[in-house]
Amino acid sequence: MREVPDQRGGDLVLLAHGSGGLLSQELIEGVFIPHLGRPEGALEDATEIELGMGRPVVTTDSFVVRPLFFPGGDIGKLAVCGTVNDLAMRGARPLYLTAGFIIAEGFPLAELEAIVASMAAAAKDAGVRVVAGDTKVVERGAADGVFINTTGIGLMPHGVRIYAAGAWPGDVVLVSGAVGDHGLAVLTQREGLRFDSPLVSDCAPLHGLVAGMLAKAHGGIHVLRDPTRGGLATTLNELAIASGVGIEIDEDAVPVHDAVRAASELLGLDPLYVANEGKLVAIVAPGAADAVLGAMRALPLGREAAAIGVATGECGRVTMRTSIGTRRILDLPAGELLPRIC
Amino acid sequence: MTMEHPRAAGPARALIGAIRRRASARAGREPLRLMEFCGGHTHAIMRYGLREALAPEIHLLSGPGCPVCVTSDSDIDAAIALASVPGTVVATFGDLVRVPGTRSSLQEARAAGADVRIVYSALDALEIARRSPNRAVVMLGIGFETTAPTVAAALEMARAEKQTNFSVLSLHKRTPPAMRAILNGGARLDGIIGPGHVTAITGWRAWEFLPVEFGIPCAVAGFEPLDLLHAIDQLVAAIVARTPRVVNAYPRGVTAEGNATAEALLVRVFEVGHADWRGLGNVPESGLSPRPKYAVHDARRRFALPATVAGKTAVARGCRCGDVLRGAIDPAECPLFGGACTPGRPVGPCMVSSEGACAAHYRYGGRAG
Amino acid sequence: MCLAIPLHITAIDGEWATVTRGGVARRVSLVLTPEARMGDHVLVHAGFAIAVLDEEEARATLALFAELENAHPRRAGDADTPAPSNDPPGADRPQ
Repeated sequence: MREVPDQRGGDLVLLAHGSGGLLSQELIEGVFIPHLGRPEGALEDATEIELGMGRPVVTTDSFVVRPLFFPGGDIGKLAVCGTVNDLAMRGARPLYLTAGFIIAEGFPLAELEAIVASMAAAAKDAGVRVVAGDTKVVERGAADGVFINTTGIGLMPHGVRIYAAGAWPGDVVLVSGAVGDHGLAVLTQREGLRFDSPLVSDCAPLHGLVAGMLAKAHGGIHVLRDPTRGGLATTLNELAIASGVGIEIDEDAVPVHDAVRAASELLGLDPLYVANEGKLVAIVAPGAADAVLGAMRALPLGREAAAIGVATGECGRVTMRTSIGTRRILDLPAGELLPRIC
Repeated sequence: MTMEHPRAAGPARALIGAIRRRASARAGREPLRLMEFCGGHTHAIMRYGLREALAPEIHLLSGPGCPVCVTSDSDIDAAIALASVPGTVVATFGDLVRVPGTRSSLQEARAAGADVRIVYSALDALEIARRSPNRAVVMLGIGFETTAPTVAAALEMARAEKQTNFSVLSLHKRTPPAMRAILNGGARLDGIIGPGHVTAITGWRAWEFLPVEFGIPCAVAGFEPLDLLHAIDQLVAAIVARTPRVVNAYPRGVTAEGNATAEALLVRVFEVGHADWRGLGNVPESGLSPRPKYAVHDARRRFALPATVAGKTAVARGCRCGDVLRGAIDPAECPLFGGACTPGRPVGPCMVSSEGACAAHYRYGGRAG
Repeated sequence: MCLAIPLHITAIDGEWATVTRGGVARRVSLVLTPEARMGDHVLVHAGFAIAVLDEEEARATLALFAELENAHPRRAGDADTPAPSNDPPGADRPQ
């Protein structure tokens, strides 16, 4: 598990770090620049960027995960991967990120630095540059330690048309790997719910996987989406509604790691409703399914990819053939994922 | 060998076919009415689509087996009041957090600044008390005979360690009295699916009063889909043969006499009194509260909360949870179902708890037209 | 009441046991099942073992289910499970 850095006494974020004066400069020079890089010339209010050929796409996201550090990642890595993945789900190549930090007064500087370092490493790994940033400090208790907001800019190649309403009846539904890892890894780190377990967040950037899929799909990829909050079941419902199709999946076909299954059973949760941060759902033309699946399985992030179902004509309805051969409706969840004992 | 239960489609299909054939072969066209008395069973039945699979020969009803569903408004209000006492930590199982009281919920209290924490075990709450000796920690004790012993154990430990900042608000209830209340209230049932884990504690003899006093068979069921189907198969066999008896269809976890250690602990720590059940009103001999020697750890005494008063529980705003729990109506027949009352905005506990009959019906069974 | 899962005891330390399933491990209390031994499978609910599973009965149950499929082979005329509908339960359904 990721070690949370020791807190050195006295090295805390102060309100003054956010007010633009000397301490703000110290924060930028001491924590952000060493990891995220120094631009050529002075620090400007706005950065010029080069886009190149293709259609620009933009996305924004905010990250509020608790705890901030969890097995497999932290809020910094999550911020990069989450933003990159939003762009990747349109078939775009991610290029630039911005990062706005809202930090609670009293937050340990060492932990802030660890988050920024992690963000920088994730950005480097994903091949994106963090080109603009902002820091504000709020009163103690007003933020859960740290919140991060990002904007991501990417380029969608000409000729790529991937969008939520793009599915047709008869299309094949694929998932890039096992579901439920991230949400359970985070949940089981919270007080009172801790297990010893190999549960690790699947947090990862998916644009490489998408590029590999596009190369083999010959236009057959109709929809991509990453099943984050609310899990696979929620995403399938959103896509069914957006596309005006039904979706039927086979419970036995959905990959779930043993540890995730066991932890879910212990807590009374359903892995189909648990968040993922390194997986995607693809809805593809029947003729392209084999090629796309093959392309996914050839890459590290898609090794456990599987075909899990089909799109049907039953507008907006998601159903599942259960592991005992019966059928049930897979509906939207009621609200926050809560463990139960009942 | 593996204890993992196979969820095989083959045996399931065989059992479903056998159950439906056996039920339809008897004289009379009415479906057999079977009541399951455990929220975990409601959940499993819905999760595996068993209701549809067994229809129309079998009609599955949900009884008051969900301890969250049957917690009264005033008990929720008491929990919220405790959460609002400055410096108090309220520890609760996740199930209870969204349940509405007369005005608010624990979730809303938390949003307003109350320290409400979700725990997996009463032992976690006791640990919070040990680590924060200057704060009062109150464990919300919900659940039937499966959970009550676990909270009793935590109470015994707290008393032995003199952990005086730890207390329990006992909302625990006993299941046999509620089953009697349902049957005495005129519910028309052909058989009862017995709660497997309650019975692991009480032993299956606890259900002998059903065939003996009411002429109704009971099959104690586990929670895997094959366990449930097997129990229903046995239950239908007993109904068709007109031989009411208790069948133990979960023999790997359930014995005749149950868990003597847990039962003894319950007797040491709790005394039996009346309790207010949402929808059923006051049910005598159905509530558990800590004995006087645990007074310092009894949140009701310590925080001078009003004692449960025998009498009618007010039913909120047209909510018909009571009739749903008694099996008198299906969720879809409640005028609020799917409109004013949905999982996103629940009125009564049957919709709040994800295994409540109404929430389960809404999620897995479609919506009212 | 309800959610209790079978787990395997892999270590015992006084009144506590380490139980595992699918690679996940947790410490649970044996206060309610003092008769539990190393290697037993126990039902775990809310942090406590509440019953020791009877291995022979478990085997018998598995064997029963395996037999079931043989005793009741799929017949022509067994309907496939119908898709869930929006009708209230109990309504007649076309087979």
